[in-house]
Amino acid sequence: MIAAEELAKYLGKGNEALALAERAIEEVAACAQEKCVEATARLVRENGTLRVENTMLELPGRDIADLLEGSDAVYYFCATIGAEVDRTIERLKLSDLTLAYAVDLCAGLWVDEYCDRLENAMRAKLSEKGLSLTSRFSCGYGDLPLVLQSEFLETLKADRFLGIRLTAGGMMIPSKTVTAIAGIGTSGKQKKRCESCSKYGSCDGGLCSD
Amino acid sequence: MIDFYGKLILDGATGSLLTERSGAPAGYRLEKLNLENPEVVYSVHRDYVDAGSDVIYTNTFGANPLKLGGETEKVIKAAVAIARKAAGDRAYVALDVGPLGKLIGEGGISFDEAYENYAAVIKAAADETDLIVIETMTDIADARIALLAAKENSKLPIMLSMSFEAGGRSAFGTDVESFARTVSGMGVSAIGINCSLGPVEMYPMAKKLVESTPLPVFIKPNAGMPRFENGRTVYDIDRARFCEAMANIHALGVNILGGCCGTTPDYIRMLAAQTAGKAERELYKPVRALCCGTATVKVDGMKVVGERINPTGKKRFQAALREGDFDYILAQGIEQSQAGADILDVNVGLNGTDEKYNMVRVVEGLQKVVSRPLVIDSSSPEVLEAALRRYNGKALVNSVNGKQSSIDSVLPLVKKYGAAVVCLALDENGIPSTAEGRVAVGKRLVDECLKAGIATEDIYVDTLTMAESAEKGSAQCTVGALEEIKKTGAGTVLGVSNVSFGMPHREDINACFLAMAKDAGLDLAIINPSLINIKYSDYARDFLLAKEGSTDAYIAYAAKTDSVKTEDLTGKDTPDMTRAIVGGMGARAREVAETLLATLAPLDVAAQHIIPALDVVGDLYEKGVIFLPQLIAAADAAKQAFSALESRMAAQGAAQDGKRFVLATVKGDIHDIGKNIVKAVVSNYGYKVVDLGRDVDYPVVLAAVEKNYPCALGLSALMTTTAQNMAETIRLVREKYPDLPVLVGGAVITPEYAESIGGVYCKDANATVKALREIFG
Repeated sequence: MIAAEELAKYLGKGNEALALAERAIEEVAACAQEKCVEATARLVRENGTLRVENTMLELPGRDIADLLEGSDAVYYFCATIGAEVDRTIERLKLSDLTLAYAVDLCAGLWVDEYCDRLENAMRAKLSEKGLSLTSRFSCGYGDLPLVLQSEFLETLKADRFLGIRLTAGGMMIPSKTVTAIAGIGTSGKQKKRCESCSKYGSCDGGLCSD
Repeated sequence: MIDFYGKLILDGATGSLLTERSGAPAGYRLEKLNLENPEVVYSVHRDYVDAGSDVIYTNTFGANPLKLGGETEKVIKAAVAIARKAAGDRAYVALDVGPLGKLIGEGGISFDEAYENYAAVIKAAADETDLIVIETMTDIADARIALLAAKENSKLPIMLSMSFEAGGRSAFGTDVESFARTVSGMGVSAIGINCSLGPVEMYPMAKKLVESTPLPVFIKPNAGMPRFENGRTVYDIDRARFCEAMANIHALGVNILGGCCGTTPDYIRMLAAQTAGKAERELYKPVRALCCGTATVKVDGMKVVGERINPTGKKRFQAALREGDFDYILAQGIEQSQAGADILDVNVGLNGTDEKYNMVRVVEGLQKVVSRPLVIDSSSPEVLEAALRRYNGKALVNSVNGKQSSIDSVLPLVKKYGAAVVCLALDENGIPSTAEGRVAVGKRLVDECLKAGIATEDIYVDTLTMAESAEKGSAQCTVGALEEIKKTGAGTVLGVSNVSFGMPHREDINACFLAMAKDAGLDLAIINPSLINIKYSDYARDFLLAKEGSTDAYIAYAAKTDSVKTEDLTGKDTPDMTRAIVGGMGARAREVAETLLATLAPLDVAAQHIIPALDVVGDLYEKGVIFLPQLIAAADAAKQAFSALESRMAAQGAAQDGKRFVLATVKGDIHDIGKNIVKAVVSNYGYKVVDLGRDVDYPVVLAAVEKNYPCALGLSALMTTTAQNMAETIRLVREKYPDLPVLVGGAVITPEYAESIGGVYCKDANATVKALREIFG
């Protein structure tokens, strides 16, 4: 659940912004349907490439290699808050653009918060076994190519189980959908998400559009 | 011949078994095994036939040109041959057709592309199988396109199943009942549910499906819910629990049973043994119902059909059609739904416009923003068919009439697309002047519909509303005919508003006529939905009952009511437009504008009051006193003020002053909130905004620039992947128009990037207004 005060920060000042935030949260709460496909798998290192065992998933680039440095397995998932959220935003764009803007922001925060919960639940489960989980990373972050998105979706059968499709431009539909991967290991090494972002240092700390 | 009304055992999972037996990694295209390892595919089929499957599905779930390219035909032919060999004369072979896996519509592939890909799959199998099964559909649009491609390229019987989630809806939002009612009339032999859930979760959906279709039903659940462990998918219930739950589904009268992901030949063997014999099904009760892809409306009492998506007599609507302002038209649909419309009539016929194109755009657009069944209203069979092809529900076709040419061209479409139909009680001889005459034509049309294979519950007769002021007694004629038609068992429908034509205070009369028709058994009232809550007067009732002297009495009553309203408006202080707009108070801004119009010309109201108010808003926004939501609200308020001026401005011919701004979200991108905000703000400054929408292809942008030149072009993109399409758009347009000003913006666009592709960077709507002022002076 998103706090109205948190959302209101992006919507202006005072009671008006707070009221708008509350309405937006109400709209999203009424139509969001949280669902996900999660998987864990061993990580295979071959000739300098990283591969998720028993899948077609290869993970190129320095950034993901850095993140998974101390990991011998991965946790990866696809999470969405569903198609009805998109329908609601589409409808509001035509009937109440102000609210549409706030609902769009709210839904983005919502799916991110849902991912936090998934990530934390897995972290808690792993810590019982003495294992740790790095923070999550997504296609399009740093030098992990966005085109990998379709492999992620195929491997997780996200079309079949969640109804996730890609647009020609590589955007996921429903639009409030996230795929992410995190490393499982014993080192306990944690990387903060912002620190592993290529824009770290130049970012103004606002809403992250990556 | 396959007996779909008998007992049939289907097969179990193909994919999960193939993965296990071949060792293929997750994400591998298992259909390639038809060529690479036919033995393993054969072994899976053979084991199912041995276990008792009467029907096996070919290993072609993902075999389509979008996934396999040029190999598709070879893969499919091999799959059919392998299945045939395994089935021998012991089982039927079904060509398995899965979803294309692509988004259909904006941002994805087109309807025609999707159709061609499905048709390629069907043609590759060349009717060498015993039947076709279209399965695991999550998008009803996808399911319907596959079905049309199968029907139009094959003579084989078709089974069709969708996947639903625990809430009873598919991932794309379709509910079980709407799915059933949409496809039951489209010529399938059996409809079903498969994948996604286990048989326990699927039970209530199976029950709903049995209640919602007269057709045989098939159920093919997973072995419970999936879990992914080290690249393998694991399911959570064993075959004993699976078969126990399937026995309950069988008892509903579902006689075609099988398994999906995670089930094996052992599951199927036990299933065949434990669900022996044919279970009886409760008799299906026909009901009057219409649906869209996400909701069903049962016509079990009078339902309201919103009439406002119709250009007749509406200048603003006509302008929207001419200019391609589809947002305005779609907003009419949303407003009517919110005002209480159960169903929406869609009529976009207007001289000098492309009705077919507009109809398809509006039908596709409405389906995204309202959950209401649609009435496809056109006199052109070609337009009707174009809309019916793309409408993902059970539509009402408006209309057929007693002329032979109409019967011959419209009824086959109604039948083919599983729609319902409005029958107008008129024929070659015109509109019968008596109730008896209209009843006779109506009954003849009902017979024609039945002959064409359309069910009684899908027929609605319109006994035609005429202007009471033109001919006394016509309201009673219409209502009398309606009462008679109702007795025959057919449904009834009336357009209501026409009755008050030529009279003052039309709503009063309309509301009264509506009440009379409702009492007579009206099923569908085509009206302005705000009418349902209006109280009508006794004067209106007397007028419609054609009582002596009632017309004069009504007009006198109406005149009195009008004078009271005028008095209310006078004596108010001159209000402050700036306060209203900055405060985002639309209704107030409109009111202020109306008051100002008493003393000022529309253009002066705009120049002296609205634009200065907007400048204050822009200033406050820049200083950080107000924020984007308030900026949008202010723009909306200004829009309402402008709408007060609009009718008079149009009358004075002052709308166009050459400041045209063509606006688009670039190809491949469907994020358009930012673009819409720019449109809302910019259009208030007197610029003519030509909004091309989103995911706009290069030639469309070029054509719009050509049509509107001289103009400025605005482009937005939100993704790094689509920013390059922005560059390409600019490159192409500049080839022809080297001096065209191009303003660009969007989350991923930086001033440097903008400059490198030849655009002027605008960080927000305000900056866009400033840039436009510099361009146009």
